[in-house]
Amino acid sequence: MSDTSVRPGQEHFVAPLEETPLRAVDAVDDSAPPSSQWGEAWRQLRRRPLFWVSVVLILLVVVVAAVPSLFTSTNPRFQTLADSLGDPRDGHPFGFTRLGEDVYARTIYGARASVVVGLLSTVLVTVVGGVVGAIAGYYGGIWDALLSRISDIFFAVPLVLGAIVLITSLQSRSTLTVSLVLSLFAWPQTARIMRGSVLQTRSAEFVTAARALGLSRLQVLVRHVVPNALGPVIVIATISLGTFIAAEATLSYLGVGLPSSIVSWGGDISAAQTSLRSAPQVLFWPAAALSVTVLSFIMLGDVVRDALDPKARTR
Amino acid sequence: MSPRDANQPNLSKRPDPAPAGTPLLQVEDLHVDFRSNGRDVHAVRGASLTVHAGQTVAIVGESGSGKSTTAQAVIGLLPGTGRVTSGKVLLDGRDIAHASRREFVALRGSSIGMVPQDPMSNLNPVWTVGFQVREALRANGLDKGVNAKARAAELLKEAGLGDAERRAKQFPHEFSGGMRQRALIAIGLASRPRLLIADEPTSALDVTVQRQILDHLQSLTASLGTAVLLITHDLGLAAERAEHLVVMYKGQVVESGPALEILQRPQHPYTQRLVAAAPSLASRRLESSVVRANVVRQAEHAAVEAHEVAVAESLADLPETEEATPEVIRVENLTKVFTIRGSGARGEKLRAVDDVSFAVRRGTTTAIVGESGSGKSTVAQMVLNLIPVTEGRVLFDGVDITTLDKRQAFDFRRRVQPIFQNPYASLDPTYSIFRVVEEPLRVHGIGDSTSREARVRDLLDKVALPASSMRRFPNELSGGQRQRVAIARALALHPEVVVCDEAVSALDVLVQGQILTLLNDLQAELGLTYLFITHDLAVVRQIADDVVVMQNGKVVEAAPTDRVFEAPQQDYTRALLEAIPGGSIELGA
Repeated sequence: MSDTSVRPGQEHFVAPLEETPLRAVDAVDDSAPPSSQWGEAWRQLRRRPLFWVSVVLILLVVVVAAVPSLFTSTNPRFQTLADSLGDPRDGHPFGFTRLGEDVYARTIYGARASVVVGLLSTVLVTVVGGVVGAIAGYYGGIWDALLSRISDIFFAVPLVLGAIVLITSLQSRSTLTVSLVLSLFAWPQTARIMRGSVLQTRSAEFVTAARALGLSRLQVLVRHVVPNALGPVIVIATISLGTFIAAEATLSYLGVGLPSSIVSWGGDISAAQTSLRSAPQVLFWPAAALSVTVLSFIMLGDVVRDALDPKARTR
Repeated sequence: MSPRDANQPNLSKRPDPAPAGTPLLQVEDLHVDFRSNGRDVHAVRGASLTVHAGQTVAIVGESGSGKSTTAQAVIGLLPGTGRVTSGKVLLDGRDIAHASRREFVALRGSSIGMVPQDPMSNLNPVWTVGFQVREALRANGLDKGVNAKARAAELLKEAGLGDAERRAKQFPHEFSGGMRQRALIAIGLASRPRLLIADEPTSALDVTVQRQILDHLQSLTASLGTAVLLITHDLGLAAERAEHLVVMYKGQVVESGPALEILQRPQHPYTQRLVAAAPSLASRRLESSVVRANVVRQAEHAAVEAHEVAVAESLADLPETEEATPEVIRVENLTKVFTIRGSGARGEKLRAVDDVSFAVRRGTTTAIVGESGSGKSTVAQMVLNLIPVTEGRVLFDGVDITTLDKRQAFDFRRRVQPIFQNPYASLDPTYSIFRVVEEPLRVHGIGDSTSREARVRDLLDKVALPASSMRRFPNELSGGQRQRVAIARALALHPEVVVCDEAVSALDVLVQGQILTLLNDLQAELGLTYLFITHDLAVVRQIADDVVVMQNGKVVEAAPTDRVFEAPQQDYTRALLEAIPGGSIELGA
């Protein structure tokens, strides 16, 4: 074949200019409104029905926890033995416990213990785990070796088992001590996630660029690395909030969590166990409240993860 | 069609079919849509092209032009939500645009082969290379028991791998990038397809390796009579390798025809732009609006003043400096040793930079050229004072920067600024463009918020970005725009030297040309000195005054650009020059 012969279908073709108008090289598109990464995540979230469902449920639980008296005027600790395991009736829609307490009022008042323990533990775990993970990941070397080994030690102890062992040796139990004990065994997971996330961000070119600007190592960590490494930690915090509530209920159910003077779903489930056959509704309501609350946080964590990391989205 | 004999490498040239015969591949008015955020995005809009048996056809275009999508539609591998909405893909006259999954499985490998772009991720790391070649044979029913192993080794040998039998037992991580690409070519050609789609087959490789691989691919496909559909962003490379060019822009074919004709007489304005911007075809240093000789003189003059001021101010406590020299940076016997694997004395040592010396004249551009692993970026990092020096000195204005204390190092940062390669990673995604550009001013405590905002506006104007982009975030900008933001950030502190580490390598050719022009104009306007790190000699020719060629951590050759290009002294430099794709093609008047 010679160079000059043109095969059929391969003649010199030029598209009419009006079909593909030539644009300026690399012009800035001014049509869309500015949006940050977080703004983009919010736009994603806004469109998900699951997000709104979980937000509404969580808000409801939080309001109930903050001002339970809005929802019931019955004292959850008021016992009338005549009503023991009594059926629902006017003003007492969920019936009565074995001790004759109003199940509805106890379910309402039980929210506070769960929400406080959940929030407190999450905040503690995120702060401690986040700081430890950030230092280990960013400074590396001896810091990493030391902090990672320490967190491995705590990581090796199962959350609930460790909590039971430690908590039974405590003199006084309150929402604060329960949260502290849960956090003590839960922070390594957050630390690991933060460490991995920081390791990934640390080598980005914008970090080198920041150092070349004259920022100190700490300034680079605080201003550039941590904000970019926060996404996965936020996701795990949201999800673990639910698991802390469940863990608190587990401890209370086992009788080693909150003292019986504090109304809690776990304690009520434990107490209702004895009357499961004769009056299942006594168990049902606190258990349902617990499940819905835990589920809401886990659902929220799920949609937040999708919004922050579109790659992880399930198709 | 008779089944080809798989055990016998058919190296004799098959007779060309009659010119009047049916083309091997005919794409007619192809439309491909993707669904994104509930909207249809038209990736390919009415593309048509023809490939005859045994012919090499190249699709050229920038990222987002639809060139890869077109090829993926041909082989039925459209990713995600992509689908062919209309048009025909005729293979041997049979329409396969809407072929079923089963039909495509039968076609792939045996009729259409594929060599993917990234040799690093396209081989499965848990299987040996030989196994993966045999897998390609097996998938097409050519796996003949004991013969398969020998056949796989044969195919690897054919693709240019020496010692193929031993190599076949190795894993991908034991292969270099070029060797992996050869293995992928062996897999692509394993079942003797009549059409091989090569999607940017060498864009991840060094130029000299790229040349070897393409040469080999060319002779191999010619002897097998395989037609090649080459997808590339590099017009020079396309023109050098293909008889027929198809230029795509925004999903449409804007021009197609014989390669040389298109290159020499481009008709469509986009093609004209592309030809004009192709760095491999350009032959001269970019000239700015200001005469360059003047610039250098002015810069030297300004430098002497700046030097005096600097000495009087922040650098007053520095060690005694020599007289201001025209040399702003002087690197002396610079060595960097990294410890890899293990630590302390037992660790393996790697001499990334070995006794490197060169000087950078004020107001000029010095390019450090080398392939991956040459140590060029490590030199840049040491000049930027970002990593410690193992041995040797880096003199900035006569002062050794390796001995600066904290305060002096902080002041040094104002005078030398970097621009990095990856526009997608060099800006903090959580920062608005305003904060990105303002940060250096804030860090160095320059001005109040009002004057800083005015300065940011001014800087964005300098890099030709509208002030409205201040409130935007990096993810909203294109690669070229981000790189302009990075330039604005680098210029915020009025630096004397800007270190560009592969600053244009990740950009499309037109955008690359635009950024190079911008850098050149800024140099003229502000009297900047550039240290330009790049693997691309074509870019060097456009921007550099002096060239330092590096190989394996050592300086191979250092000379003014024109001398390096016209009379290279070293074999390695010559090999690099010869490897520039399309460098030998003469352009029409």
